Amino acid sequence: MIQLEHIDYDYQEIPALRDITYSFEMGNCYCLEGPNGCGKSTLFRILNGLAFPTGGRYLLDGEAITEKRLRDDAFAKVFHAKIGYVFQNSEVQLFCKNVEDEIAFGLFQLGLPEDEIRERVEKYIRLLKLEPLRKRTPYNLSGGEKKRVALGAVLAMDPPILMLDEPLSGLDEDGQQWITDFIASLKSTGKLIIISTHNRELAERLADVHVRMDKDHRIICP
Amino acid sequence: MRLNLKVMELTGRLLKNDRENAGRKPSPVAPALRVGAAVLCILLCAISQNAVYVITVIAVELLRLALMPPERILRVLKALILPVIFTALIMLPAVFFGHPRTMLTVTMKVCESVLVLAVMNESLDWREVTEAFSVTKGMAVFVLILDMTMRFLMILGDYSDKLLEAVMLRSVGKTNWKNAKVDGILGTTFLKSRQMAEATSEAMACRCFDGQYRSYHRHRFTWQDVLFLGVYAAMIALFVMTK
Repeated sequence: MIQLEHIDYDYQEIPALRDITYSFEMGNCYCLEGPNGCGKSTLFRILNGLAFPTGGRYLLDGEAITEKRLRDDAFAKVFHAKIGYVFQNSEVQLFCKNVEDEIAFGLFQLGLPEDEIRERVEKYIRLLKLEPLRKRTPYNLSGGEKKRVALGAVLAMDPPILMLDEPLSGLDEDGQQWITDFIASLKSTGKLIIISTHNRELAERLADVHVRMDKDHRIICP
Repeated sequence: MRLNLKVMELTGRLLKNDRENAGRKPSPVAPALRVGAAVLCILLCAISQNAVYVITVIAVELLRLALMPPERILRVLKALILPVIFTALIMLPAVFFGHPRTMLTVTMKVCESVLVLAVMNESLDWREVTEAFSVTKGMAVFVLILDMTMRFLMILGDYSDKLLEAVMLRSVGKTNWKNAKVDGILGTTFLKSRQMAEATSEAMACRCFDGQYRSYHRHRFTWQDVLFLGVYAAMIALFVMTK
């Protein structure tokens, strides 16, 4: 469970988040909606420990997540293993030689046994229909394929929390439909899913809870 | 300006090679063995004191080259011609001092080394080269850096290519400012590379990166590898015989 208590964040003295107090419960799918520049991506960065609030507290499973704590490598590893983050631009997220290596990367970091790594890689390659792409270099793939690889790489680590930043951006209609269906199929897994989106259709289809942010960088409609 | 153009030319060439290699079927022989054979070949030629060995290697490499597509042959010959002419010119005084064989030996050795490397460059994809290095466990960080560098070169090469196209589409007539735009493109590409590097490092942190970098694909020793070891044996045998 994620708890945010009076989170403020300023970017070079310009406010990006103001007094955000909210709880994200396990098993629910939250859609974070709002106009450009309202702070959705900043909030995602804070939730993933990539930025730290200038005020307030962020608690994950009751533990405060601070810059100091994340400097401890062991703690950071446990923390990042709990949260899977699919970036808006999948290209920056894919850095291995081929699709297989990309999915196996996180599993090697978790120190899983070889057999389990192979099992999981094969499972997610099948699940995300990546068989014909398995030996391809990720940066040579299309936008939709990159998104699927990024999703596979994150899901293979089996994080209890999944965050998706604009999962439909840059995809064609078929790609959008496929990703939407796939995320919908994940809802039954009991994971906490947080999606940042502009897409009303996606939000209507997937959200258990709509979280709206306004131009003043606050949550207005929990 | 010339340097900028050279950088863009290099990234463009890398991108082209990468696209050409994208659909290629990988060789069944372990990349480490193929890179090792090239290194051994150059090493043996360097210490060989018999021209027969060097000439034999050049002949075999030229035969391999002849089996390649014409555009690859052209690239190899282009890479070969300058170092060979340069070495021959540098060694030319040896002829006047009464040692014509020295000139011939050194030039042939340079020709052989460049030829072996150029043919290897054409027959091996950069992914296979880094895979060859990853056989040694201590090289993980080196391989990671190499892979990342290549990836960024490809992506940024593509990016600067698109920027160039955009400039081209907005350019009408014959003007000097088009050349000046090359600086702007490289500047923008540099800023983009910084943003991408930061985002990639964050993505790696999100996937618990702790310095481990292993390949999922493990090359299993096959009969093709055993056959290829015969190439090693043949090279050493020829070297010993011609010594």
